[in-house]
Amino acid sequence: MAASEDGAGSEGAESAKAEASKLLNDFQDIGFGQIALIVAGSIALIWAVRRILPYLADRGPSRARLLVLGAVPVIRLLVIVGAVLWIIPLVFNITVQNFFVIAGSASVALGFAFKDYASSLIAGVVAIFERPYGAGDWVEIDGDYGEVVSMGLRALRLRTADDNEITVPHGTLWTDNISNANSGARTLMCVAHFHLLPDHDPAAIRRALTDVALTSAYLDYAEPVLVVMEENEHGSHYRLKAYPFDLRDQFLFITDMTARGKAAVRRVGAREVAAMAVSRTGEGRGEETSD
Amino acid sequence: MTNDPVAADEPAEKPFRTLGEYEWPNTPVDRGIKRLSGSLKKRFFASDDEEGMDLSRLEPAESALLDDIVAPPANEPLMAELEATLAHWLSESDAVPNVQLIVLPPCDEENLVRGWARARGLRVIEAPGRDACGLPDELIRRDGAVAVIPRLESWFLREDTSLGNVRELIRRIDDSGQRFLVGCNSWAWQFLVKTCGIDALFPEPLTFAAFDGPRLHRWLERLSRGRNGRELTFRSARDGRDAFAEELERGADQASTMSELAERSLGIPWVAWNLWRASLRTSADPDGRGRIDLDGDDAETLWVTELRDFALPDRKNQDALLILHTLLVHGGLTEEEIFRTVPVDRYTNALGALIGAGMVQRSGGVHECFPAAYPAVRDGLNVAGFPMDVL
Repeated sequence: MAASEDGAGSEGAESAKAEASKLLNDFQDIGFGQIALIVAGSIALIWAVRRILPYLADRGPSRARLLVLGAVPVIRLLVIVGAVLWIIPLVFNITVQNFFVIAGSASVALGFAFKDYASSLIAGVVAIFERPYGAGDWVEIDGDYGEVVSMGLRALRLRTADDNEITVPHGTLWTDNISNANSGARTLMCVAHFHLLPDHDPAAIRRALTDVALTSAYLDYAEPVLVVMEENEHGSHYRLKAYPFDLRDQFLFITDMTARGKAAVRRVGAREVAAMAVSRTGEGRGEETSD
Repeated sequence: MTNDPVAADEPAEKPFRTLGEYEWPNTPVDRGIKRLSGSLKKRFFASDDEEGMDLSRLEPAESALLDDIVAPPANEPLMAELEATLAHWLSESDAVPNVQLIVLPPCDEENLVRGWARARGLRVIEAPGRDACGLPDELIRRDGAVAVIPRLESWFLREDTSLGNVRELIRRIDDSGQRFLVGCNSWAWQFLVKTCGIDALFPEPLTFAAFDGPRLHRWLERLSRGRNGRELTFRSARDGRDAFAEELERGADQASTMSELAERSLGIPWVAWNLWRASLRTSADPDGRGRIDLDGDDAETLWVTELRDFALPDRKNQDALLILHTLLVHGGLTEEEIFRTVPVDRYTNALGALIGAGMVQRSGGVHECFPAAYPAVRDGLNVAGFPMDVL
């Protein structure tokens, strides 16, 4: 009796051991329909979020726009993580041993076959939390300046002022400097440049340029207006710095300040430098140069 | 109709208070939610068997009738409040501060400060023109009398060459030691704070207390009696309730016509006055039985209809928003002045579209924001992120 009990116990232990070492669930136990539903539901949810939130952001209050846009990658990440955590136990027999087997295999596969892809995916997750950029921000990456119009799993898309769309892998985060002009704020500094011959009254120029910015229809009253002057080999370089109330107006704002600033400069008797060396510093970065 | 107002124990007049203490009847978010829920309700739950009046049987009340039962001026209740607020200051020849600022919301077509000053017999100094160089000779007089500048927003144009005059005016007022009463609209005030630092010289401007339902109730009910003390009934076209009795029937916590009017008008009396006039309808009975005899004394009914929603201008209509903003900052501008202050090309016809939509009115060549449209315009500018006024 005792022997038969021992035999049964031993068989049960063996069976449990075999069950535990099994990596995949039995084929007939895997709910493929359920998995398909989870995948389809997740895709539908992500699709809806990627369409509805930007739609609301563009039509809702301007000050909430970047907040709403920034929620898209976070929600997408949560949906993907949730779906994966839901599906894994349906397919795999999760034990500590199996977990290490799966994790190890996945790491090797990703490490060798999809190294760059995996690097960008991880950088994308890091970007969500570290936030060197977010949807709606104006950033410069590797010389390209534009608005982050969407953040995908692997890459982000920038739209430049000339309406070109540039895809930048998140992996750039590891290697390149990223310059963010607004970092989630709804406005950013705009700079209009004026290069003048040295023979003029700097105080009058400063007053005139300040009034140009103060009377712009795009000005954000809550932010300061500043005129910075420096002497260089061409004459006097003035930079008129101010903030628009909506960063999407930055180029219109700079154009407005530049056009009216040129007239103001002439009114106070100063003359602009007629020709000057070409400089690419700051070109295309929300700055405009009068020369 | 002759019920006592709900808050009869409240003082009829409220003194003006410091700028920034205005109690808005509701927030832009509340208004947005109400607008959305209202349009959804209309679209999905409208039914023919609803209580109330068939709107097709109503027609706008005649202007002669409106002029009797909702008589101008639209800022009438504030005259007494302004008088009460300034009585002490006026009586002291060495009153401190020597300059008193009154900041009001825009669209005050009858010009409260000027009207009050003239009624009081005070010296009124009008703006010399937006392009004028130099100040009027009569600005400073050493006679100890109060001088009144009713609209500071008329002294400048938002152009880099046009700020000199208003800056000089502010400096002279501050230096003179003479007593000045200066009126300014709330949008112009914010602009002058930014461009002239006016708040550093005159730190405590005053504004009126927002009109809530009971205050509007008292005022509009009094006006409704007209010249002959007539007895009209004002019924809601939605449910047939007496608009002036609702607050008693429903209790303070439930929406009434007057509290809704206070919310929609942002508590501004001239906006509420315009909305109230626009909402009144008479029965369009073909045999004339529904018409109201101006000289009659029988109790008759006016129907209070729901007010039309102005389409909120959004960022896609940026040109329209820029024009509306400059109109609010300046109070009113000619077409030529508008296009000097905004980077908008005339060929877009944005101004014409605004006039067509009823948001802007033109009078004597000057364009102004229509008072009844002001709440929608303000919400539109707020949503688009424009610099806002403060009350």
